[in-house]
Amino acid sequence: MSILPDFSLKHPSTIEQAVAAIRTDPAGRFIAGGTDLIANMRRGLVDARTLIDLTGIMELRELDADAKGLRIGSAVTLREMTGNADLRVRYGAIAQACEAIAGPGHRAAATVGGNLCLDTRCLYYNQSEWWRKSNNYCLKYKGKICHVAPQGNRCRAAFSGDLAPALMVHDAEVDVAGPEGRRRFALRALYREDGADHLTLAPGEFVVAIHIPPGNPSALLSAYAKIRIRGAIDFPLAGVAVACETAVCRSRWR
Amino acid sequence: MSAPTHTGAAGRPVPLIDGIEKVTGKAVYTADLERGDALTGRVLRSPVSHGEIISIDVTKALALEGVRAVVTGEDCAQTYGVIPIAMNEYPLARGKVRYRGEPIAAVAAVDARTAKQALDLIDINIRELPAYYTASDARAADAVALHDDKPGNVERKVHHAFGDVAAGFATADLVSSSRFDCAEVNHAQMEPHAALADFDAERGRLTLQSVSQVPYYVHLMLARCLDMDTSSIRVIKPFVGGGFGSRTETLNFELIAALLARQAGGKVMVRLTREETFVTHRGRPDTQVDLKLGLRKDGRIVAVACEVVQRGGAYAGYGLVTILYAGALLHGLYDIPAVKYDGYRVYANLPPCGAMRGHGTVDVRHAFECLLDRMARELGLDPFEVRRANLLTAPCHTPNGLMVNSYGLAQCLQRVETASGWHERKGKLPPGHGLGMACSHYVSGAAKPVHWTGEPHAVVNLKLDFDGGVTVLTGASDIGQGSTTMVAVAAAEVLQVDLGRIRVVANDSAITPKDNGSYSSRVTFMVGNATIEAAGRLREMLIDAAARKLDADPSDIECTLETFSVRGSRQSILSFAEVAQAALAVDGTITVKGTFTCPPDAQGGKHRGGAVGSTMGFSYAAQVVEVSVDRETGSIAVEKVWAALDCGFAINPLAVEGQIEGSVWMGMGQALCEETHYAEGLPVHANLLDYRMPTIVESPDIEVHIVESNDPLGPFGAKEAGEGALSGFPPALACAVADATGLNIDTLPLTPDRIVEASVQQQRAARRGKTAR
Ligand SMILES: Cc1cc2nc3c(=O)[nH]c(=O)nc-3n(C[C@H](O)[C@H](O)[C@H](O)COP(=O)(O)OP(=O)(O)OC[C@H]3O[C@@H](n4cnc5c(N)ncnc54)[C@H](O)[C@@H]3O)c2cc1C
Ligand code: SF4
Repeated sequence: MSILPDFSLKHPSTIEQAVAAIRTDPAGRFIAGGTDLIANMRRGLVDARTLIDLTGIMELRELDADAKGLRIGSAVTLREMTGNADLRVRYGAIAQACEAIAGPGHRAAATVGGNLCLDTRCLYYNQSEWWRKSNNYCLKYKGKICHVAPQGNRCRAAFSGDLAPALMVHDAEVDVAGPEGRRRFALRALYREDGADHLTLAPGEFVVAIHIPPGNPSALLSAYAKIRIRGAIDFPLAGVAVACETAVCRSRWR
Repeated sequence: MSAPTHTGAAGRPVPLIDGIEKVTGKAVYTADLERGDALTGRVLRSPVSHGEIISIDVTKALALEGVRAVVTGEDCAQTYGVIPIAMNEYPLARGKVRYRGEPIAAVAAVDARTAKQALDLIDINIRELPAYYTASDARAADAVALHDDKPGNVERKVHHAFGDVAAGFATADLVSSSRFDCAEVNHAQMEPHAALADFDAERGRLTLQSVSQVPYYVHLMLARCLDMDTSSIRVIKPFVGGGFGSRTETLNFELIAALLARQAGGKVMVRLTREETFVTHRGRPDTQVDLKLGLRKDGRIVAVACEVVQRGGAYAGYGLVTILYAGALLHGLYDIPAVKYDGYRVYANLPPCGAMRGHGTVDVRHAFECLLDRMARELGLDPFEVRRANLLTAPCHTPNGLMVNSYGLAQCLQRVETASGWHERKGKLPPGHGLGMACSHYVSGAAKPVHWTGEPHAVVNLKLDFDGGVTVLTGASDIGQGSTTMVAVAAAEVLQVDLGRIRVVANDSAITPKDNGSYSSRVTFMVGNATIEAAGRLREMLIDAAARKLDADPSDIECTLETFSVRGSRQSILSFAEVAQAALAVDGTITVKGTFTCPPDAQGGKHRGGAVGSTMGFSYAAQVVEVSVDRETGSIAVEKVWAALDCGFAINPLAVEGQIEGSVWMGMGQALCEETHYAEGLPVHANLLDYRMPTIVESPDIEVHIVESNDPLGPFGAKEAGEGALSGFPPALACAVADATGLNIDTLPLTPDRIVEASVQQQRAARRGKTAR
């Protein structure tokens, strides 16, 4: 196995401590389940010398559904999500998306926040150091050209998270914290179309939680489906989430 | 061999005797052998596909603190390879590099970090040459030769013709042809490659432990490449996590570990990453099959013409055997009077291919069964009836000289036909659902080993000592297929003792007798027979001792279930321990030996390459696959598989069942989703996420039927069970897809994109058909 680069691991237990940690070490990276980050580190795709583990912050581990709507802490694991009966019934798309991510072993560690902040993927990028070096790297990382579209100057690496579309059809908002304080905005605004810089988070910001507003009619009937080459442990070739409101669902849930 | 009665261990399902270690995590695999006392070996790999090495400068790496050895092509001027006439690979490239990832240099250092730093300090200067990634590019008129002795980049051409092919086609009612393209696939065994080499500098001795399926061949190549006497080398095979052919030849990292250990004067562990394991390759080549069949209205196959082009990668490896197998195994399954075969094994700038489960036959069998199915449809014949019209009659020799002594294909057909409800259900399934069937076969060991020495094909030693335990010493490599258990069961059966009394010690060249290795499904047949012979000798000695004790004639002694008695008398019954004691009293510790040698008439035709494909016995298989296909998304769900295999006799039915399921499953991977991909020679697929093997989610219900044709030469009548059922799966699946959708797809694997593409083409053709009218 390729060796991991040296790093130090910080274990904040509050949001404030996490913010302080990133302030001290602005080049640090957040880590949750590590199922994406560690694989990338082994491949030499991550420079960070400090990792800040978010999974010890209790507030990030809570999953609540009440009158205020649904609140999912960013460090809630996908296994916890799929095991939640309420979610299965009322937020079908979300539960189905969680269930379709990677394999059971990954889902035990993988988190909601990690899934939303997953790095983009590309056949020329998710490769070893030897591989990328032999290929003169690419403009997403260390290189000058894009091998997918050599004429262009923008990275087209795809964001392949399953969960984001499912949350979006439920009008999810994200709650983030960082050195500049807390803010909340629509999940769709978390992303921009640039494979090399696809998240709109400010430096040092991290996702605290996802909110789904209460009484949102689109929470009534939703589903998620993905196409992949094999039936498990495979990223989506395409993923579609749909929510619909019908008279039938209304009468069923109200 | 007289037909033995199976009263004891043979024929009963037993869990693998080394299974407990595996499932409890106690089994020690090569990578687990490191106890903090070994240097870390790492390999520097070529960044280019094809080039001339101008210089390699290792001075900075050697000067780095903590580096104990640096080796390059300068350190070994000997080639290695599995086929004595085709050894053209160096452990570390010399003069030229021919694929991206080919080892150029290696270092041994105190830890992994230092080893990595050292690799970064090696300066290489390579002048790039044009590179070829397809067989047709490599064969182009102006292509630069990868190897000077093979202009045109064709490693081996085969032109074989048996029977009057032209006359055969002339009598056919239907002649059809098609081109099939089967993607390259890899074994993707669970355990990545690893080797631990320990060089005793004082005595000049080397011990190598490795993941090999062929420790004996590794031993020979170590001696050759390190220029050492074989007696100074010891090769040990620990637990192995899967082979499937990926380790049926000496691999570069094994030699590199040894070269490093010798230079460092110590112990070096080389653990390859998954990517490096994929780059070491040796999988099934990308294969193009042009097939033409002639069929009569009654279903008789009257002639076959087949051209195969295999993209073999950068070095010879097993190449010439693979291309010969592809043609030879057109025979031996059905009774075909005339067969013409042209094969081309081509070099390309990609990792070398090798042997993979169903070596040589899988892609050709796919083409054959698919085309036969289409032709049967065209003639309005049932595919089962077409097979029945072409059955062989055993014993016989095929036109290319292959010996067939036992033949259970008819029973296999009957079993899956009935079990699947073929006649009741075929054509009556809901839309999008389909049934397909196909047959296949495989050798039970090559009757002539690749490395011919004149020695017996297998030797087994047996030891009985004061403790009353029977130790079987064998060089047979258990790579998960269950050979250790097979050997124990065979010995227990002959000796009529409890399985627990048998201990198997395997794969240590200092202790166990030589064995050619675990490939071509040879072990059960050859090592099984050698075990039976050895155990028979020991049994005779025990019977003699019992006869003396009971004062009876040895021919009157009966030996059953750990007891010895005089036939027909219930008076004095001796226990195994008592008899063992009496036998040992004569001359102390008893060691006996059993051997097996393949009879000459099993060794194939007299034509050039005629030994390849020859065997003592073929396994036969028939299977039915049921699928449902979603045309919109192109995804295929395998609903159920019925697989019947004639393995002669199931020495351990549980293991046979596992092997059949494994074969079906591996065939399913190749049929549905497995394929390698290269970007200008860089492996895009070199991890288990992008190299898509099916998971348990895709795994269908597999109903296994064991057919026993009792081979006259097989151990207890047994033949192979680990490969025969594989090559029938891809065509059975493709035929089921055709049944479900009307799509005849000529490529493997049948990925969603290929199904959708074929579906779109079909709709376009249908529309064109309409407008034309
Ligand atoms: C074999 C395999 C198959 C996979 N299949 C799928 C799949 O089918 N679908 C899919 O969507 N994913 C898949 N994944 C990717 C990954 O496992 C999941 O997306 C997972 O949810 C990531 O969560 P994590 O907690 O492990 O993330 P981590 O690896 O811990 O982090 C991922 C990224 O997010 C950042 N991050 C983590 N938490 C936060 C936060 N709270 N705020 C800001 N940034 C944060 C990290 O810095 C890192 O860059 C697969 C991974 C593997 C190895
Ligand atoms: S720049 Fe982006 S899209 Fe282009 S090759 Fe690199 S990762 Fe892929």
